[in-house]
Amino acid sequence: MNESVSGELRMQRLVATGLDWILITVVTLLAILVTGVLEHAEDYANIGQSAVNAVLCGIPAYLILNGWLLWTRGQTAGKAAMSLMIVDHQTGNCASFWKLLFVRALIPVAVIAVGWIFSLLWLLVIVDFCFIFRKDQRCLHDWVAGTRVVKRVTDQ
Amino acid sequence: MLVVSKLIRTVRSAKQWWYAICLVVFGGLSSHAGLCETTEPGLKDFYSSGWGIDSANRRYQGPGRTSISADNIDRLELKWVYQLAQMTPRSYPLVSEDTIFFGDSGRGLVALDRETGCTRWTSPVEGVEISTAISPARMPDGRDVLIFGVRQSGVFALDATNGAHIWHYSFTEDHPIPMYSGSPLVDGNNVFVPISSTEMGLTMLPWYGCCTTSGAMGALDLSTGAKKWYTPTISDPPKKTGRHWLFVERYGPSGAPVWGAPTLDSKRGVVYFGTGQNYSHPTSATSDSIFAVDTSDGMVRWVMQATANDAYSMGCGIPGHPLCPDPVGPDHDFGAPPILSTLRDGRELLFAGQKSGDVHALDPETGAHVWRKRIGRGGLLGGVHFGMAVHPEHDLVFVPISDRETGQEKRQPAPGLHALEMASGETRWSRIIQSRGCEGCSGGISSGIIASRDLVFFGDLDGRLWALDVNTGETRWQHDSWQQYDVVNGDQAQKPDEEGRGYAEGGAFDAHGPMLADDLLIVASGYGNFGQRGGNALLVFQIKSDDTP
Repeated sequence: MNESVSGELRMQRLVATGLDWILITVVTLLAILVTGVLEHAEDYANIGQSAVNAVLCGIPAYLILNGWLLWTRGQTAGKAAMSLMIVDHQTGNCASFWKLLFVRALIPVAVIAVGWIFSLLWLLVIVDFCFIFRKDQRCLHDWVAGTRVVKRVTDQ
Repeated sequence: MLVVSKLIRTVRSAKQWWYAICLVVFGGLSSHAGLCETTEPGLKDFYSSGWGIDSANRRYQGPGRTSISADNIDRLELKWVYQLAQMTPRSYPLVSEDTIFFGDSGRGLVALDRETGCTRWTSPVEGVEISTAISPARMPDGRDVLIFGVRQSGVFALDATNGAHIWHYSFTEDHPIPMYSGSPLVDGNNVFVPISSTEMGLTMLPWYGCCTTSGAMGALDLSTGAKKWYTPTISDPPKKTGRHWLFVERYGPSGAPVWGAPTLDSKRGVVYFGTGQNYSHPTSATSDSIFAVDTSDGMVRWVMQATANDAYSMGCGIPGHPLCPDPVGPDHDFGAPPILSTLRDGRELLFAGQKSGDVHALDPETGAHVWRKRIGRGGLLGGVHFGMAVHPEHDLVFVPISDRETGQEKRQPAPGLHALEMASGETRWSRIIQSRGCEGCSGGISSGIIASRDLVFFGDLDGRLWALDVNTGETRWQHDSWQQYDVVNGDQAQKPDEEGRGYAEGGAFDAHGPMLADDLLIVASGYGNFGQRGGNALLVFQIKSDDTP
């Protein structure tokens, strides 16, 4: 497998991220439907508990949707659709699955969780995404995880 | 799960601490100019006992309680304006000899000086939305307290002298997700609490197993806030009735929420209240009904159902939604509290207005109809919403009709105010209020109204405040609230203007409506739900004295 770094990945990454959010939302809703964790009035008695239940459905939804792709090719479903992949910034090789899962994917979730407590910190999500306008096009979560996103090119 | 639950509690606790710190720091920095020198309010003379001014919910302020009349209404002028923290205020002012108490959602319950609008005290309360009128009461130990509801949190009792928290109760043992929209009623050592449900909103979610909750009336001990009794409006437990999308189970009967304040009948020892529609099938014989329950134990004396088989949910607003009941009903709630009034011939009648546009006159002893009359079109946003008023000296019932366009009704609309004879239901006069004509505008009256000796006051959905002659329906006074107002709490106000001054904006008049006390007219302008115009202006008008230049 070869890879080449494209200079104009921002739009593809934006589309890939949008696709990921849509797909994860759909699969999460399916998980909510199947498990019934938000089916009864009692499940809404504590709004914080309701949110946690939704997140607990979102984690398996994320793994079902992206687990195999991340493990084998450093891709999420959205990135696969846009022929993008995540590589280790230093080596250029496919990034470690555990790093992708527990560092890179968790950062936006952690920011959202913190934003739930301290409302203004939601802005950190925007700050994270704004890093893509740097020359190296690495978002904040790429910096923390030591990764970058590149165009995936396959040999025929 | 226990660990997760503990984590949530910890996080929520941290959140509350954060808010508390912000309140102290920013509130302390910004609110000095709006504070009164005298913080203790006068508590000797209150101008209302709750939502309906009196416990019979007549919404009538007699000559001894208001000096505003047709003779001086032309001198009614804006005195001061207070900027509220939210654009859909739902509270109703309680007025004493020198103070106006109001639920300023987001800030808390505020005690404002009647003369200047300065703040005597602010009492933050759990939850964000003070949604009811405020009832004054005296506890057996002599403390003066204020009783009110917060939409999602429950009923609160505060010390009226300083706003200190005394007790709080929510009926969560009996109801998983209660909502407090109707105003509590205090009688002796009893606090009667109408209970609705947030389940109505959950019916928007297609994965929700609709529906299992029931409306209710509860009673609390004024001294302690402890529960005395709880009477659900649907006595049968919900059963599974089917499923959709393979997994989601459906239940019924459900609904019949209590949206409005109860009405006290001391002579018979009962409280009356109305219910809304069912949320799912099968329907119950208690939806869209008027209840009479015993004040001592909550036992049901009688139920009069006005519209049978009315199942409707918010999911019905989305085409093809699986939680819209089939067949779907017309959503003809009783949102307005019933009114108990004595006619000049000595008869007592119970008057109830419905969203269908029907007005019912009932025998309070049995619930039997004396007469029934339909006005206008009714429907989802039609008919009578928050409340009617009566004029006991003229034997008149004033019926505010909303009749907003929803595209689903076929009858002729009649937005405006209608005066009916108490004894027969015959129309004395009708005053159709024309809309401003802008898109989404309506001349309908959704909010509560109030009558005095010779005037009846109301605000319409287009933000205009009116005083009509009780005998003819002719306009005696009007104020247009769709404007920006300078405010007395400018330094603590949000969204300052270009010069850094805080201001308030008027909007639609809705919810509990205007209040009369002495020479004051007090009303909150703004209601941002249902596509209406939001606003955050608490307006205080006063009769300008003769010798004022």
